Amino acid sequence: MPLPYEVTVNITRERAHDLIIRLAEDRALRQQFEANTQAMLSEYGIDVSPGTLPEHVILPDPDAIRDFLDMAETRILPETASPLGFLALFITIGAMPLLARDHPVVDDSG
Amino acid sequence: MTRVRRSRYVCFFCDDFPFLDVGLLLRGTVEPVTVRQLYVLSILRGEAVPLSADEFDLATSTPSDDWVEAVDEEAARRLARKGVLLSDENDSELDTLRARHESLERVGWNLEAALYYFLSRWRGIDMRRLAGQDEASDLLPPTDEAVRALVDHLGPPPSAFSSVAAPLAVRELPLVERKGELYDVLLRRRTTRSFDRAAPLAQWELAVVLRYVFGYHGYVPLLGHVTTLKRTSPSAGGFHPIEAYPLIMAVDEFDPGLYHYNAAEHALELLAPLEVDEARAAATAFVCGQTYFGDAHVLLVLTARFDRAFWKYRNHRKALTALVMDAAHLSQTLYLVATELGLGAFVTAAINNADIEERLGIDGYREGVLAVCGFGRPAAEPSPFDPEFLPFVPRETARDDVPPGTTHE
Repeated sequence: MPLPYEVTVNITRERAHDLIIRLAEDRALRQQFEANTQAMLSEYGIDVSPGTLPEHVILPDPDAIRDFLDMAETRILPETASPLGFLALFITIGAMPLLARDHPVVDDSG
Repeated sequence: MTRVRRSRYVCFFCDDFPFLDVGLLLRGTVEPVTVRQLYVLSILRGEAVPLSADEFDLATSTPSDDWVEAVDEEAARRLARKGVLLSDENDSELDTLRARHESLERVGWNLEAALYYFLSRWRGIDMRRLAGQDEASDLLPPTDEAVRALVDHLGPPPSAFSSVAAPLAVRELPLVERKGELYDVLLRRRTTRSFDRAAPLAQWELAVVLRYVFGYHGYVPLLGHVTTLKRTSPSAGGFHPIEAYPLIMAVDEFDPGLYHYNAAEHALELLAPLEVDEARAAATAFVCGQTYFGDAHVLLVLTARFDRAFWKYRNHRKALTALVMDAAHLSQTLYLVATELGLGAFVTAAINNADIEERLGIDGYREGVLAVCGFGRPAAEPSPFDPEFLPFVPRETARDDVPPGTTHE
């Protein structure tokens, strides 16, 4: 039975990825999140109607969020599929610099 | 009352990806959900911007061919800042976005071409920073370990060779060998990434490159005007809308600085004098931190005069492709002329287009940057980025180098 809450999410893949990582790794952000939930969510483009917020916000254990990220990370931010992502990898093969993810431009000289 | 209309330089798309159920997240539980997110690809902003369902409704209910009064001014302003609506409100950001829209229309930009061009421009990219390297030092080549990790991650690349799976017949061709300067230059052509900073170029060498790569050698008048020009490289419609802006770092009798090559006069027009160090820093920034190119004696920024090309190819889907081809032809000719002179050349698409346009004082809509080439006197020692090529022998090499698990049928 779904809980009766109203949430509107307006977020990019990159922001979603960033938020999930920070919820797993950033203790200060977790504290801010629990103390000032609505403002923090709003910063990420997530609106929760005030009446449906729990009285005490308790975030899941960081390990549980990490497990979710391990399972879903490549689907949240595919290495080359997203036209929206910010550059997260810089790799080179031989003499040709290659930028991956958002910037699939190759210095194609040889 | 604010009046608005929708820019026609937008595209909408919808994208699904996994996220956390926010309601349960706030109650201590991790539960995956799928987020369905609307986006607008805003050409005026040069980026994809998330859009709410309400904003999408407002965008699609606002006409693109007529100004109307905004019912909800705040919502209209928000959508105008996202580059979806045009607003007549007196606001510097909205003025800029409206001016961009007007430039796109005036120049005759095709929607699909503009979408690709303006969403693939870079600003402030530095490969050293992205690689976690010191931005004040040279870009370092990858370690063997990094290359191994990449191949482990992605698997081996597709075969270097391509053949038809079941051809009706295969007829081998004679292994011809040609002698002569042209063939010698073609075989010696390669990308140079190591330049001798202690040995400046002579003025005549610069002049030869500019004259024989970017200079005009013929014309056709039409109705009394010069319309069709001839360079040593081909151009769609004979328009030759590609311009060259040399960034000179080490040429005898030339102060370092940013110039424009005026092909009509075969002359350099100074845009900005620079100290050598400033010029090298600018060069490296132009090519996203590829320090080996920043060491060249001359960088050549190739821009396209979109207004000239689109005068004929107005709102044309293929016009941008033709411009990119024009720039590519010129870069190959630059390689050949530089090789014949005993110089080294390069070309790169990994450039900070938007930053370069600001330095050149061009708007990106009437004229914009497509590529950066360069040339100079090669150093005795190659760059650690340079591959060592082995001789390739048709048939023999291909047959000896079949990666495991693949066959040439």
